[in-house]
Amino acid sequence: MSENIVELKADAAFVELTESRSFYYKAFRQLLRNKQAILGFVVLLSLVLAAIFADQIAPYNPYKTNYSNVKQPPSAEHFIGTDELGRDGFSRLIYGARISLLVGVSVSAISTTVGVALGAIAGYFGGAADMIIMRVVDLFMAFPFLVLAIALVAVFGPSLFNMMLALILLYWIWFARLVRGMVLTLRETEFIVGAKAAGASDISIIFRHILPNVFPVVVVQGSFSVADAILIAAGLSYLGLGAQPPTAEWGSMLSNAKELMRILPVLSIAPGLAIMITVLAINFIGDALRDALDPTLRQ
Amino acid sequence: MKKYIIRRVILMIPLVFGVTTATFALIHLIPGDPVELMMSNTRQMTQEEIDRIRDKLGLNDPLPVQYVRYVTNLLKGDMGISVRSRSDVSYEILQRLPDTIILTVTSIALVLIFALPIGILSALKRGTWIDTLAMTFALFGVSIPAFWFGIMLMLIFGLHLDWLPTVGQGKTPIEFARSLVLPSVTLSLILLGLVTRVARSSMLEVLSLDYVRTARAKGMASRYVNFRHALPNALIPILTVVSGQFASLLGGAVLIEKVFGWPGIGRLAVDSIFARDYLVVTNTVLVFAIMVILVNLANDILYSYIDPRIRFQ
Repeated sequence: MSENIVELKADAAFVELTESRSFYYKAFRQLLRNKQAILGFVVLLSLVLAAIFADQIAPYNPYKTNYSNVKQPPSAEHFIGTDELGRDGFSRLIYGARISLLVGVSVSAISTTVGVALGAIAGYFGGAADMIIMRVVDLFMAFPFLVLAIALVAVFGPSLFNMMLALILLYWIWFARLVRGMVLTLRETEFIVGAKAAGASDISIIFRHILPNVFPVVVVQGSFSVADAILIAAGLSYLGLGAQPPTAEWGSMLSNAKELMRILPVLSIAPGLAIMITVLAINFIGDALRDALDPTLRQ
Repeated sequence: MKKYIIRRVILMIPLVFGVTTATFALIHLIPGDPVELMMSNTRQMTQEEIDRIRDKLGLNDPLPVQYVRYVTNLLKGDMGISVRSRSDVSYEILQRLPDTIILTVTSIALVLIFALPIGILSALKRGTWIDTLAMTFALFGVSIPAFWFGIMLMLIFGLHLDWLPTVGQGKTPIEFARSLVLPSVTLSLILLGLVTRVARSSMLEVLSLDYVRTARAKGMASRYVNFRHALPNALIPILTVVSGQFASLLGGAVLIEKVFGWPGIGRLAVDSIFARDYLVVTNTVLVFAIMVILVNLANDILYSYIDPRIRFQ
């Protein structure tokens, strides 16, 4: 009982940040007032719906080749024309949303979880765990991100799944560094020292006091990493190291369209625009989330 | 000062050791037998022949022995033989390294030329339409896939207007410069948005400091305060970010070189993956890492000159 009282008091001392409902309520209100956030959310929602209902929306089967109808210019039947195998560009574009969103969200979600867990362990317990985790982080940081991603895909073999695996292996680093730094500062704050003095266990301190304080920043950075992962994945697929043909994916569509650049530039324009719109929408939301959630920007 | 540099160089050694260990591990993680890969384009060999070559190359030795040999060879500049070209891997890489360096250095210059004035102007005109425009520009900068931006530049300036070559590298100095334009502009996009944002926020921060306010209170001309007092201090964090992002620029170069057929080491690495020329891939990765480490070292030393506080930390 007395333990809870001490914790409650300590919590109150730490400016309305921890677990406080009003913090998220205020943040949510602020998000709703942000026009960019609303725009980003509407665009992203339409993309998600397009990805889910691609079977219903797409006018044609994205994999159906039609040799009597190849390299057609844009028309009422084929909004952005057809490729060298007679496949409908617009339908492939819609199915491409599936891959990009899947890669962005799953890479970001998994690497965030892993990174937060390892970063919290390194920062909170210190010692050997910290040493090992941070040396691995330093080592990974010595390589250019894309170069290491390419090398890992070379080891695993080029495929969509292996590319996602490689990206997860690289993105957690980022979150581990971020969270470790925050935990090192938090560990010294009065409310955590207080909770410790009151006899709270390490597990309880991490879950009830540290993670809730780390959460807002991680959500913001996590949303940016979705956008980043989509850009990187499209680049790797363009190089032929991600999604493999005939998969309808924006990056590999761009690489495919290169041969037809002179006669059908629209096939080179559309997939890139799709990537840009997706990434812009996510960055709009990320910027708004940062304004609403990041306590260091709140004044 | 000397002491600081020596300490910094010594601190670099474990990292270089780690990086070489990582590339050594990479070589051994790659599936498939290296001898079979090496000979795959020639005739089928008997097991006996394969064993003999394995023995000759020392592939039957224990891993620690192989590792020591790998490092000693590296120190001698020997990276093995490329399967594809049959020449020294180190020769292949050294031949293409200058092209990658020229591309990245030109891009960094472009980033500074465009991002610095835009970011600083947007800080000085905070809250006006100029600021909004600059930040929109920056947002697009971080949201456009750079390789696609390159394809668009190719379409417009190469195919449509026919002003610049789209693929490859020119031989004469003028042709070379012309062929460098599109790849380097494209590559600079990777950092343009980020550096514009950093320039703005760094300038805003310095403008809010007491000494700037004091200068203004003295009645000093606004332009003098902004450019003589505030700007030099705002530049330090901006340059830190630029050199810290050198790695992502090098990474981006891999993609951009491939898009424009620029003959640097990035394109070499990607082409070698598909040719299953793994010694070239892993050694290129190593060269990339060493470049990043050296840039970070040069950067730290440079900063200890500019900002003496760093030396005593």
